[in-house]
Amino acid sequence: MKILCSNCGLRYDPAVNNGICPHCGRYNEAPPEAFAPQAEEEAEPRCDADPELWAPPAPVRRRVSRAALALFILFLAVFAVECAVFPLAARAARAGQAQAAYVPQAAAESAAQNEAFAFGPAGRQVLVGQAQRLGSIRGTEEGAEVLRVWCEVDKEQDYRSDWAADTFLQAGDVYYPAIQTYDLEQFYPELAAEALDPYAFQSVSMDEGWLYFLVPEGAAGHTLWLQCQTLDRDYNISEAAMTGIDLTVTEGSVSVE
Amino acid sequence: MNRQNSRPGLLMWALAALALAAAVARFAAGMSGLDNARYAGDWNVSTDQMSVQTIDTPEWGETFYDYYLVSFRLTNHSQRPVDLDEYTFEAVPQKGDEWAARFDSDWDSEAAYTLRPQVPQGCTAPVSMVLRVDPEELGSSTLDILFEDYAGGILLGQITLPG
Repeated sequence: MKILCSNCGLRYDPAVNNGICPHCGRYNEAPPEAFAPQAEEEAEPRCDADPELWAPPAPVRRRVSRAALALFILFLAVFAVECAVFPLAARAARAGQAQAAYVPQAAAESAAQNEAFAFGPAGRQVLVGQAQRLGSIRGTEEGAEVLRVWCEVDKEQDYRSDWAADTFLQAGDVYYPAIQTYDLEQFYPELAAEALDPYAFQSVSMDEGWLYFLVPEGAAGHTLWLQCQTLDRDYNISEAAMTGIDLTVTEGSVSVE
Repeated sequence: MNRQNSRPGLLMWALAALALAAAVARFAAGMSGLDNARYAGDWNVSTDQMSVQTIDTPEWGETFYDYYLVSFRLTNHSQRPVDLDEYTFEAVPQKGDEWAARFDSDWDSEAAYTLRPQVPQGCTAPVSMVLRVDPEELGSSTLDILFEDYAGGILLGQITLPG
């Protein structure tokens, strides 16, 4: 009795070589009758029909895990979507931000020192008084000096959140921001006590004090710029307007040295 | 036999894990890119009248380097004032070491209050910066001047160092 090899699929007689396939060397289990003497089988006349061959059961092949396949396809799809969406979103965000954050050229107007003028969307009254050169005081960079400008802001009826204010001192062609009150407190608390924070220009209470600036020593021409920033719904600056006050600077002194 | 047959299953789990890792990494990179895009979008600056000239080595400089004065007019259309310091701008040679040229200044580390020139929003102001160049590492005399926005930089213009 011959059997089929489970490995190479060829037919062979397991009784010849103890069940080992002569074609590929694979051992296949075979029923006991396959090892019976060949005489009976050979004595019987051969018929035309193919003898029924016994084949060992094929080893059960484990199929690909469906859960793993589904997860693989899912994660691959997520990755593909990310690859497509993120560059588009980044480009849109960049373009949107650039458009929303664009501040057009600031409108400029001038005002006079020691004369009150209207500032901001509500026309708040502001007066810029004397400007004093304090020179190089302790802690300042070499070649720099401190200037201070007296400012008075009138009372405002209603607080408006649709605008903000900032101050700059132009010395020569270059703009310098006001020294923050917090920074002044570190070394000169007595100066900080009289300092005016730029935020006061947009608050509602009446306020007055000195704006302090650090500028290069001996710079020619000083202009105080009050900047009115119009804010949109996202609190981005949509417009900026600058009011410039040409300053006459006098020598001043402070108790600190 | 069973070990052989379990390989396809393990491979698919490994592929799924790899796809998950790729998706997570792409998500992180994408969100970072979005954040950069939003941050970089705040800056909108432009320049004109860019020029460069050779200067003597400053007192605070080193003789090993060549020094140049780069000047231009900067217009700030951003939401914030632009600080005019050596960290705001970057000079990158078109060839050679990326760090062969850097803007430099006489920064007083002991001073509590230092000059902080700025360009306010919606304004234009002249800028002059000292450029320090290492001639040994410089591969090209043409340099790109970039505004450092921490998202790749905004190209402001090009300068060619005078021979």
